[in-house]
Amino acid sequence: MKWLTMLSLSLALVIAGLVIAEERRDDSAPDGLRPGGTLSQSLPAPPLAGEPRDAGREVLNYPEQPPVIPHGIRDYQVDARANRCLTCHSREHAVQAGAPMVSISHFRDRHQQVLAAVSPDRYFCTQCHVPQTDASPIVPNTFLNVDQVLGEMLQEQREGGGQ
Amino acid sequence: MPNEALHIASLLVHARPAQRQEVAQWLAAQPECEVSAEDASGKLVVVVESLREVRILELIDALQLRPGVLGAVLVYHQVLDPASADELADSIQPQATAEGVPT
Amino acid sequence: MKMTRREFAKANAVAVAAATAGMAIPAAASNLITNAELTRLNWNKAPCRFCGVGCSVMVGTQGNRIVATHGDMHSEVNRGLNCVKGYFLSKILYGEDRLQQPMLRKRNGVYDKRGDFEPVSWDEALDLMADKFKTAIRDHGPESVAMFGSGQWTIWEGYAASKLFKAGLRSNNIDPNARHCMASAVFAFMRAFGSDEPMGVYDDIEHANAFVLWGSNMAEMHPILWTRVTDRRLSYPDTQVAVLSTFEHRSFDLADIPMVMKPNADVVILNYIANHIIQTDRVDRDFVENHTNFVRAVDDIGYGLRDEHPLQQAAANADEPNRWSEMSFDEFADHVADFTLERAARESGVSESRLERLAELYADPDIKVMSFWTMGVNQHTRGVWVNNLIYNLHLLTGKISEPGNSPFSLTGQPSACGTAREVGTFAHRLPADRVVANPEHRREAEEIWKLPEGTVPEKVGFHAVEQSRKLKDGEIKVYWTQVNNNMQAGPNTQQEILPGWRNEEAFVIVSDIYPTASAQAADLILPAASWVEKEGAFGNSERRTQFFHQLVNAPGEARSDLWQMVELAKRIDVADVWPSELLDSAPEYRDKTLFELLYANGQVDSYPLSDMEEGYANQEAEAFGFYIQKGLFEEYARFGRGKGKDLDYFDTYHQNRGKRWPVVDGEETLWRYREGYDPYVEEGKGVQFYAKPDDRALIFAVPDEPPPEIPDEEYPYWLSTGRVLEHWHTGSMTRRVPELHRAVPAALLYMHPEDAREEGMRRGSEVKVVSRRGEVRLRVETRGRVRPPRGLVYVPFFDANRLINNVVLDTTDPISKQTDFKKCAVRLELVSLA
Repeated sequence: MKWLTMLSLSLALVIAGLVIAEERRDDSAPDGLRPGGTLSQSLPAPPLAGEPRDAGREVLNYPEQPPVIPHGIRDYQVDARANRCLTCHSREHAVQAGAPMVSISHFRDRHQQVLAAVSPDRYFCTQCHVPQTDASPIVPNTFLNVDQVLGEMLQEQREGGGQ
Repeated sequence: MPNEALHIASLLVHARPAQRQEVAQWLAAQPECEVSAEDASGKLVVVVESLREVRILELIDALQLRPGVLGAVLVYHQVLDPASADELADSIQPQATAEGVPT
Repeated sequence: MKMTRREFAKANAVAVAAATAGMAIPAAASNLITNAELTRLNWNKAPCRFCGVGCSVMVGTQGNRIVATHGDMHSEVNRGLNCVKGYFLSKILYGEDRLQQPMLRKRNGVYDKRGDFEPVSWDEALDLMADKFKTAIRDHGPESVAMFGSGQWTIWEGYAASKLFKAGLRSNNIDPNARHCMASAVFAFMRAFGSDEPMGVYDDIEHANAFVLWGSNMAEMHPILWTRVTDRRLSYPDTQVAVLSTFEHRSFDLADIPMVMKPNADVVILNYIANHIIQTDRVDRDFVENHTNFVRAVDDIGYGLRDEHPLQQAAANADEPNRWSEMSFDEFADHVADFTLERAARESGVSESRLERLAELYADPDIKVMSFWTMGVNQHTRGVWVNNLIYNLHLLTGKISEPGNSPFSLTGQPSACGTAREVGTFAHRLPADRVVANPEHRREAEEIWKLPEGTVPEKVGFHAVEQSRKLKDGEIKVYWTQVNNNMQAGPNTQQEILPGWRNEEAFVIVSDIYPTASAQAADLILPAASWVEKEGAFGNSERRTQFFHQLVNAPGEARSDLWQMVELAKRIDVADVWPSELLDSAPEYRDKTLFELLYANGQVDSYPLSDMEEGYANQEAEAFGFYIQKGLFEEYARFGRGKGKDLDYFDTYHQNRGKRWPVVDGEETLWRYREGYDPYVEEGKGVQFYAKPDDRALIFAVPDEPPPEIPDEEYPYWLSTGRVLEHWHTGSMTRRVPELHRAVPAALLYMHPEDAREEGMRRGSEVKVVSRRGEVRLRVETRGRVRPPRGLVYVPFFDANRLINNVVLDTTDPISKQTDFKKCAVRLELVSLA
């Protein structure tokens, strides 16, 4: 499933590769981020990933996770002179802009003192907050959030108790 | 996204030891908040429970201005759907994830 | 007791806050939690799994699962902050394709190099490995086996590996991937100061008025240190930030003095600044006269290519590049006098005014300046020289070893310092700055290890790039890699690495947690445990040693690298791998296994399981019946105590957020070589570079020499490779985290829009990047975070489906043997316009 598109693209290559390859280097191997048995090949590049147009805010995996950015940020100026992100997400502008306000955790400095403005050490937003393209995962991730783990444990307990 | 959200947050407040009780009393008088723990070195754990996110910030701001308060920081912040907040926790379904806010 | 969601959230809120503050959990909350029993989150500290900054994170576990991570507020390094990778640490171990069972290539039920992978038991895997090692050493000698390790090994894993190879198998063919990353820094430290690793600490950031980035994109590669630089710069407006690179990147967003230079021009610029300091009479005469010597490095040292390469043949000093001769200050001044401002500007492409402003950051005695550098300097055919040239500036002006004045070499991996450098897992090293070529050093190691004289071989082993060549040449018969992915990260993949690994002569073993490109090219794949699936220790860039406990179990049959090595040692007898003369000098070892020789040696096994902190699992200790991590650490620590590399006692590190060595009488050291900060400096000396015989650091005169490959008509572009913030190295962990993958899903070809237009390409076009060595297909990005100048293209290496190292030249710094991944010549061919 996960390799469906890659498979159709690389099938032709594999066939071509078998004909051309003089040394047989591509011994079979398990699939990973790269399809197994393709190391000597030059795989085609997928088109640039698109930015999701109207992505909603995503549920966090745990409370301390920085939320991802549900919109494009191409050409946003964020440098020593200006911070485009704060024109909507700052405390003063968030309500009017309809944007979530920068978290209150950002109003404290390195020594945990609370400041009147966003702390300079939180100034470059993209060190923690990243936009999301429409790319699908290459390999699924089986992380479970705390509620899911609790649910599983409780279920196990119930099942265990019923025996 | 639901418009209504129940914010549950904890703050770590650091007060001068001599003024800790004073700060704790003031906190106890504030709406939507309770002092959950304190120790002799002047640290207090405060839990805020509010439908308004800004309430957390207001409380931190107010704390900064209190005499005897050295600092107040947000440690934990979870957002619940108020409609299901009083359901039993052990009926948690895998999908029922805490909806987050920027931290 | 039943709890509502509201109560549960509140109890959690209290518990987390109390844990953060180190307070006892209040009775009420604790009742709620214990009554709900299952709902307790366990929070423990651990250093981040990624870069060399060494942030501490709090890891929340529930049962046997990691469910949350956040920045550790008690850590001096990061004070509660993480970068985006760090915030997603919780997910890196949970890719669906975690390796959970050993797999061996087989045909008709037996191992076959051309066979298909089949699951096998650990016993089958380890027995076969032992047989391969023994056979290779018996038939071809100890030089026919090799290991490629990692700056991501824990300290004791690196130490156990080094001992296994250098003492057990008697082969120095062990090298860490830190060779690709830090080797140039290591050699320059040893040349200039006689002791590896920085004299300063991160605290310098809060004391400096100027920061200079020499080939380092800290905003993406060391984000949390960058937050500290940003904090300093924005909080103190007089602070200046200078950024020098061959392309524009995110760190330029904070730059007061932005400089894009031509590749290789750093040598000229640095020599010019030394000249400027001398010409404007700002040399700190007193410091220079009392604490430094001037030397001239040998020139014409070649390019670390294969010996038969014409460029190697033509180089006069390719065989012995790491030599120098004494010179006077006046001779040094004459040497740098050729490097004028006008010349530096012409050859670098940076304007005279910016170069002069840069020079003044060093020359002005009132400015406290911190220099940072990473791969732009280290991955350089003259990387050692450039490191030394940076030290020259700090030494000429005495701006060193004091708060805010700090030449600071950054590291890429979580334990590049702790494991690769301090433990000495390089092919030429032994623990605590000792080297195999020095008979006294070998003897000291043999004494600590209770081994007969002559056990540790004298000959320097094969370094990373040489290992690839020796595999291809059929000289290495057994090759084991752990915690690295050299099939993707090493240079010249198609001509050197892949043919070497798939060579019929070689048996290649890869230990990893996921099926990486390297695992796909292996013969035997071993499933590894990672990060908090084992007890570990890392050493960061500022000499800070940090410990972590095992917090969850590894999945399936996955086992730590340490367990794998020790289990192999049980299966090899000393008599299988030692020559009879050596056995005769130590007959008591004749009937022992390598396990008994190296690990159950009366030292490593002298700490019982009862020494372990209660409440934590420890898979290896339980498997071997003794506290092996503590035993390895305490034996290893003996190498450094009293030698300026003192570590604290094992148990203390589990209790604190790390300490910076030398740790003397329990006190860490912030600034080395300066009286009042460093306990090793003798009273009244002020400054003392005590690791040098005459207490003096060296200032090096080096010339400018051209790179081995320069763009020409056929291959008209420079190529630089590198990383991105969201992905760690080859992406094997971060690309399995959906949020990080969606943020940066594929490697792109970053190029100047005018170059694209001239080539008939546009943003999104599919292009083939071709060099003399291979090719790779990529999509063009002309408006991305990396903005190259005309004539240079940039490609990150995290993407397994776009192996940019197919294209990269396997040239190294001749002294450090570190590959230059930052410049080679390529051409671009349009595949489709899009």
